[in-house]
Amino acid sequence: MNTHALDEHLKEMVLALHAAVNRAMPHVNDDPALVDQALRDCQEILEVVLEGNVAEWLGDPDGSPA
Amino acid sequence: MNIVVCAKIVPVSSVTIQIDPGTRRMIRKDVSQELDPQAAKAVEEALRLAERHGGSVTVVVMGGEDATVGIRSALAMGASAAIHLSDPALAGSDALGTSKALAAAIRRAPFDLVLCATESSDSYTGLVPGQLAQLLGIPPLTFATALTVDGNTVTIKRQSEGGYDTVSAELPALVTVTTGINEPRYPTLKGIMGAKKKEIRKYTAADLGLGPGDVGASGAREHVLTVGRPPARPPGKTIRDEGDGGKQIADFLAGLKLV
Repeated sequence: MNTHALDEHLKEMVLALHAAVNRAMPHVNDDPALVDQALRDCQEILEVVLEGNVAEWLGDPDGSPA
Repeated sequence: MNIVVCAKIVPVSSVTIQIDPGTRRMIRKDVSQELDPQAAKAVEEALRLAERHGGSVTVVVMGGEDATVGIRSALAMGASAAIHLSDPALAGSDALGTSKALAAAIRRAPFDLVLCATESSDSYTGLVPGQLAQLLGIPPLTFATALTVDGNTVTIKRQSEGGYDTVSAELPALVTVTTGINEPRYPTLKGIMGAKKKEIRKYTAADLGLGPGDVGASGAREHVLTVGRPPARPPGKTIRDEGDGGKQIADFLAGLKLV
């Protein structure tokens, strides 16, 4: 198992969650559509993380598992 | 239109930056890194231009191996490709060394527009964009709060003390963007997965034709002499309102000649 690649991938996921929250928080009161979209995007990321399909995450560009 | 974005990868904002007392440089080893939020604004502006006018967005980053996560963030936002200048020989470069390396990398392919943050959010020198424009031989348009391209002309609203100036130049040109120019998009799951298929070209100093006299600690002509904390601020004045709070505040401001 390439744990470095897995660490990097999970860091990307965390940074994406962080960026989505940062983008949405200033608009909680003025742009509910943007906030809802950010929540859906966060949910999508978290669901994929919870699925834990590591081979798919780290797959080569041609789709074969790492 | 071929747009190049110069981006920096910096310690994540939740980290308290530490300075190595020996080298007087920021400690980056084993510190989580991210795409500089200021650079993300330049990436966002480039993506908007590419969506409007077509073309490509290439992100150029100089940094160690741990810069990859930040580079992938830019690719996940939608950048087409990335160039990573990664080489121990580049470590310790000053602003001019960094500019030389970025310019050498940018020159390797045709470009129309170079976008940079006004300054990075870790070292805040703001020196690189001007030096880079000089080395590339293109005009720098700085402090852009808005940016448009029409044909072969780029026009910006340049932030000034009293408002803004409208400034334009023929392409190719370099533009630095301010914090308020946009709100960057965030990487989605689709973007993150798609970014894994995008190209990250890696160059060393030698690949760029640069030697120890140009880059790295040995090529640096700028030296940090001391690093210190700012002096503690004096305590503020607390006014307790016991019926005359307004008068006390007015007197206080009048004493400062503010009213």
